[in-house]
Amino acid sequence: MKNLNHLPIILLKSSILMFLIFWTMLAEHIYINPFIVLSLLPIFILCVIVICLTIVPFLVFNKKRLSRNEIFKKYFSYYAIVAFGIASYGIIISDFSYFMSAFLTSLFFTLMYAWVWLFNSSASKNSKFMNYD
Amino acid sequence: MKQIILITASILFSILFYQQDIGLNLSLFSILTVFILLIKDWEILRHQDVILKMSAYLLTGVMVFFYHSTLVILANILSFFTLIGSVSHPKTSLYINWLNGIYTSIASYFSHIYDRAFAKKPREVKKKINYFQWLKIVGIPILFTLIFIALYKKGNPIFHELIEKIDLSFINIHWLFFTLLGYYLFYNVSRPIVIEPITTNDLVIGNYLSQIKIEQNDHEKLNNEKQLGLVLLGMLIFLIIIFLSTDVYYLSKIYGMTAAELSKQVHYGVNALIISNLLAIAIILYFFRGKLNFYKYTSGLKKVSLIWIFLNLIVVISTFLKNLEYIQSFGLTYKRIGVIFFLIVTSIGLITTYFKVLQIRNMWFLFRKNFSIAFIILVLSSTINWDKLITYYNLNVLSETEINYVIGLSNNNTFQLYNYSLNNQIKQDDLKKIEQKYEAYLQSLEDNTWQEYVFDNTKLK
Repeated sequence: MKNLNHLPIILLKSSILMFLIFWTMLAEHIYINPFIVLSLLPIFILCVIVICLTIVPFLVFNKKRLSRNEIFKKYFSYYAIVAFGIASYGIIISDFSYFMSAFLTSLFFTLMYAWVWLFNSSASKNSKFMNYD
Repeated sequence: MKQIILITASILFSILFYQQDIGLNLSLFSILTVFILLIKDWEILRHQDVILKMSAYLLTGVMVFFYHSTLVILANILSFFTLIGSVSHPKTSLYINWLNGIYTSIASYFSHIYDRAFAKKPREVKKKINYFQWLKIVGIPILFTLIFIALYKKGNPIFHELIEKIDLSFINIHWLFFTLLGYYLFYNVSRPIVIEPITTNDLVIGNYLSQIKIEQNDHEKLNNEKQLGLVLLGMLIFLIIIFLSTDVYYLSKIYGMTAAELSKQVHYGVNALIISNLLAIAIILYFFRGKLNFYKYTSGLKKVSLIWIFLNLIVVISTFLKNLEYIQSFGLTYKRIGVIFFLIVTSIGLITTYFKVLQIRNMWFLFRKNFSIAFIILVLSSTINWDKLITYYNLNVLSETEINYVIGLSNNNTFQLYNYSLNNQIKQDDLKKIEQKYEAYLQSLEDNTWQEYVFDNTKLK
């Protein structure tokens, strides 16, 4: 069983981060009311889907039994480049619309932080699975 | 100190780009980036490679101000990533420069915070920040400056007017976010990183194939492969000779062709050439992928391969001649210039393949040389005002010209077209279109903010 005890906390942290970046970027263009808090739910679902489908598999399907640090060093660069490419493409084809720019920018930075948190969480350092989880 | 430079650079980034179109700002940004890189580590200038890439970046930056075309902007962005990648590790190949440049620009910050948090060494105990002292250093001077501004405003009406003119209404959350993005970019650029293990691998792998020892039982297999190569290339050479003889016949009739026939010929010729040349390179690379390079009985196969490359080059020349005739008869267009570029790149691909076979080089040699040459061509082509060149050729050299095509080009030829319309007799409809283009361009130039200035702004009276 992989050591992913800290994953729920990281998902929550990521959702809050994306929520903050997204609404701060849109603050100039739309009226912000207290009900925007409700958007935390879809943002949380989105973070769960994207992080679990695109980042967690690097840990789960780690057949070469690489340490977290090795996985980060090996794959993060390519992940960042691909994520940046997709986000930039999305922003360009949306003709730089405020909504899509805010959405994709916040998602990109959230995913970058999720990598750092997931592969460097204190839980992983203290765990006996530190090197081969 | 470094933080102050980064904060200043990020504010300048916002001033240059926030809600602005591309123009002088991209040129100034290129200079700012080079400045930041040199402040961070001026010793990068010791590497000739970095100096060359820096020059290419600054050159494309200046060209954005002069020509403001999509090609120049793309060349500038690519040169930016090349330079950043080169600073990350100067001795790597161009395509590794690009990867390292993109990675540094978009994620260096995250890589650093990860490394810092994961470092095995205990972190150095940081000196405790005296916030009260900072508050005094920043707060008291600001307070007194504001008081004195209020006093001087009352004492001098010109100073009062000057202060009233300062408009800080552009500062909002969006602007701050944009500035933060600028800070993120400059932070990344000033801390170059590399992707491993591809960077180390690239440095380790040379341009030559490693010597492979041929065992006794390899002989039969290599001999079979050599025979297959000889038969296959022999057949292809026979075919290409027939093709070339029919092509010579075609070239003799080219002068009597209509535009449609010639267009069809050039386009079919180019399409066939793309596939033919890629196949030619692929076949040669397949046979000379390993042991056959060191097999002593392959001189025949090598000669046949070189003849095959040479004949492919003749096909390139034949297509070039057709394209040239097409241009001479029906004018210069972007597509026809694109064909010339493609033919140049193809010829270089074939010539480097020739050297690969002759000097027993590896695949990486081909990638390195071809990418470098393609990049040089891109940078050099960005220094030419293609719209102006096309317009000049079509209006002054051709007897009959398709004026609608040149009117439809970018604004780089607007003044040239307008002058032409003043000095020559042209149809009323065309004159109207040129005047409309001219008026619209003048208006857009007048509307440009200083960040969006282009060279044509200097021509306004």
